[in-house]
Amino acid sequence: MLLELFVVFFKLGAFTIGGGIAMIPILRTAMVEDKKWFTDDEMVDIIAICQGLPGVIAVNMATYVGFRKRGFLGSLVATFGVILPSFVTILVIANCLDAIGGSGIIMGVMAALRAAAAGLVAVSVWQVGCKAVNGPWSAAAAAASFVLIDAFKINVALVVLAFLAIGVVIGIKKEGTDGDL
Amino acid sequence: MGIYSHLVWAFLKIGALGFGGGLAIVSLIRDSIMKFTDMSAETFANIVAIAQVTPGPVAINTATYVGYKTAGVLGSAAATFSVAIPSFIMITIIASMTEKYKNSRAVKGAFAGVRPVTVGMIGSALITLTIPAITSADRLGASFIPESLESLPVDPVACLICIATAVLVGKYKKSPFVILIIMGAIGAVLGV
Repeated sequence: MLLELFVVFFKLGAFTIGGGIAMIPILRTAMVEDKKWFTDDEMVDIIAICQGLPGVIAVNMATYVGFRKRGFLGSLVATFGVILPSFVTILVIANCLDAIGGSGIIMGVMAALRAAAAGLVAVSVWQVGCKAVNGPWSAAAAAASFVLIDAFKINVALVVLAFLAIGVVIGIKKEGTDGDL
Repeated sequence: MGIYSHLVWAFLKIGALGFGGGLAIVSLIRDSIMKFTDMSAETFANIVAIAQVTPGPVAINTATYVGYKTAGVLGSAAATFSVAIPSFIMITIIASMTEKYKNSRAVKGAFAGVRPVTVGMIGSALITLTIPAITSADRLGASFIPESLESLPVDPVACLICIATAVLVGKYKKSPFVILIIMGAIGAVLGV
């Protein structure tokens, strides 16, 4: 299991360009469909926690999944796995940037992977959206948080805290908030 | 303070306070390292550009690179591990607590409140990532595609790759790894 955790997160770190959010569809496929470690609903909550807390989203996801599967050691192994490819790649690049910087082939690979990463993020919006939006309240909240973050440039921490507070207040007052508030 | 303790402290704070992941953290890194290094804004911009097009979490890439530039391999290890440690502690605590209290009304409500925000955050990231990916001045396959397409405001090949990836992974459930390797190979053949 520890080796499996390491391999999953090492591959995640080694293949995704575009950072943690572009990793979501890949992580979901690995966790829900291949390994069957989590259900689709659990996965959405994991993503919500990892995005809502401070820190690097990919590290948050690795720590969370690792902890749930194999406790402290699991989170250590998964986090190390997701960081290691970055670490090695960046050290290599920092040392030989001049040699590869101008190569049309490398630049072509990078440009294509950036475009593909944007495609993967679009898939994330769709997948997480389908699960997280299940009624009028959540649809309005998703739209409102998008506008607050993207158009009004409100600090993400404030938006998360505000919606968290609303959720807790409504949750305590009312029974059964599994789905929409 | 020595350079290592500066790096460790700066990146611990970034890891603990950096909400929103990726690019939001990158701007925190810029603000905090400018206080104790003489790195130019241009050098930092280049580092961020590289961090975004190399594999791995953008914030980890930036931390590794900045650490390396300021204090060599040890510096990059110090920066990378420091930025990960706060996440590690917080997530471990939260993961053990949510399991225990996941059926309480407050926790259920908290999840119901935050879940939709996740969609808003990813939506915002989609825009941040897509615009530079499809409007880059270096067009994919510039030497193959007809000149009439060069005046377009967007890179047509990049748009196709973006849409094809979304459809193949999202609709046809193709393996994202396989698709990324194929798209990378297409980029290598086309060049810029």
